[in-house]
Amino acid sequence: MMIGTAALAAAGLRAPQACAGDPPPSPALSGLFDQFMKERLDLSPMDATSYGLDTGARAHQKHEVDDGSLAGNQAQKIVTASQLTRLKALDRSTLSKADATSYDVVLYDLSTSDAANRLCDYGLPGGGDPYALSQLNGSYQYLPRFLGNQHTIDSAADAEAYLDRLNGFDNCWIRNLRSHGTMLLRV
Amino acid sequence: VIPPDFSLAAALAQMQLLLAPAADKGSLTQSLVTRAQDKHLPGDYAGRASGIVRDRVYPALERQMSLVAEMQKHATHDAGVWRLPNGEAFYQASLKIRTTTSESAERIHRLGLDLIKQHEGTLDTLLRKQGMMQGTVGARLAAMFKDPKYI
Repeated sequence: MMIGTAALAAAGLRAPQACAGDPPPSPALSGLFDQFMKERLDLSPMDATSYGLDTGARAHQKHEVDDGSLAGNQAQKIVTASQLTRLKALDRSTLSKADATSYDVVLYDLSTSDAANRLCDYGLPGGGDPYALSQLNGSYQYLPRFLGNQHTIDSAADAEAYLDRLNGFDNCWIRNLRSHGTMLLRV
Repeated sequence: VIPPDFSLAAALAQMQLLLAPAADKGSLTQSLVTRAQDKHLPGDYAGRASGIVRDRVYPALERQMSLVAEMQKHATHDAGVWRLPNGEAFYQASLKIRTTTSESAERIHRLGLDLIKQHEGTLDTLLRKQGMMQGTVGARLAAMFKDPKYI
């Protein structure tokens, strides 16, 4: 839910559709994208579940819900700004054509999101959605759907994780309410 | 920031819908119960999930609804983000994110209107072929959705 096209492009790099004769992907860029993806997943247990990555070292994330508080949003904004800085520090001219395209896609996503973050602070990170709570946005919208469609139940552990998330539902709402309360009421 | 009044009314209606079923009947409980049964998992998932829904989720939802009611007192009918601080710039930045172009809002709006006109023309032709001649394209589509023949 929190992951943008940058992270998806980064994830896509893990399974590059290489053509014969393509130079090998740049280890520096792949390493950076892997790191970006890790940072995004760390911030979003629900994305870890959506991508089927909530196992092994990330198994604990299956019990957790995303932090929808203002502090959680702020953490996302900081990561976006930091990733943009790190990507820009990489010399694009050293990259192959395919890598340069990936670089451009991620750069576009990060720089447009970062620009929107710097412009306004309405309640959500990035642009496009000004309202944290509306007929389309809010934990009441995405959590029930997520628990029903994304959270898989194959074992007793999965069922326990579901119950933990149901409990986290309340925490998430309270966090949303407390932190957004003042901001939501701002005209 | 506060969404426009019609958005809040729709949000409140959806929250009421979520709150309507008894805790043990709602989808939050049933989604777990039915899937745990499918996998033959032992355990009182109905009791535990509905307890959480009743004691924690529903009260939280009620608090959120009272916040929406509070927001409604301050909401206006103005749908545009131009009313928000730095709203024009936010809209332009959002357009850039969503369209990957730097076109003006005016131009993208016109493009949208043109596309709708174009699609309506296509739909009108297709609907006429089905013998549906009367009314707007929207009304005919709505009628089609209710026609048992297509359900």
